[in-house]
Amino acid sequence: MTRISLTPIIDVVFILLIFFMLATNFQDFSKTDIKLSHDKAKAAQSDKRVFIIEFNSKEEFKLNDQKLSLDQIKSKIKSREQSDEDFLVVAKPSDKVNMQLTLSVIENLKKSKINNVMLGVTSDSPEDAYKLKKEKSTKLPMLEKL
Amino acid sequence: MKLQKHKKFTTRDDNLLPLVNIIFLLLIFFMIAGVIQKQKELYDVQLASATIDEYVEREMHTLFIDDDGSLVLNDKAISSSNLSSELKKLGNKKDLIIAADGKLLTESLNKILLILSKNKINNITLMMDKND
Repeated sequence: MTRISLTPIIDVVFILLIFFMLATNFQDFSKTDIKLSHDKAKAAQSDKRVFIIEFNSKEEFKLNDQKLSLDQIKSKIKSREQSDEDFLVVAKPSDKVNMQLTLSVIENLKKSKINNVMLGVTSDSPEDAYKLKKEKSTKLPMLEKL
Repeated sequence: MKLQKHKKFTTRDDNLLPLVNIIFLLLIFFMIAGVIQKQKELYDVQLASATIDEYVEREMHTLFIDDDGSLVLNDKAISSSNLSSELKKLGNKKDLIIAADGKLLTESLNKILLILSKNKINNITLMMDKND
């Protein structure tokens, strides 16, 4: 009785193994849709309450100009708002904040079921910024101080 | 009647059987666990790591932003001064995935986002490395 030699099948399996090892990709990306919130956007366009979360690279947070920790901010937002449709959250990193921190903050908020987060975009020209600051102090009644 | 003694066949290949078993297991693992796809070229961008999966699958253009602010739009290196004109070339379909380096500072990002806003792009998709 003759037995089939295993060597050819080992060759083929090795080739298949090498192919799959090289061709497979395990890297997984996460993606999220996000809206941009402009300084220039007129508050009157929306009836929703806006929570502006400003933060710097030292991870110091401000909610509508009030210094708080991120956990305090989250509980404050959640205690005040029942439905996602009633409010907007604008994450506004300062100039020296890196992308990693910005995304970690957004991730943190979303994990706490605060879903309607927007990314704040600051105007680049100092003149515009001054104008906006002036406008903001007079024309944004919706930015209710907590 | 004298029964014939059962003869045990051995070949040189029998010693290879454990190896074949392991190779088969590895093969099955790679076939099942992995996804065969073209590796997305990341242009040296070290993506920030976070897991936020709120994304509707659709056809999109990809904009890579390195930590020094250099840009690659749809596999083509561009400068920030050309970004506006390149975006105009995209026509009406301006859905953008932004793959920004984790070390990219907000001041650099803001400049790019302002250009996007000027081109009426106010909804973007951020791409990041999935946390384990």
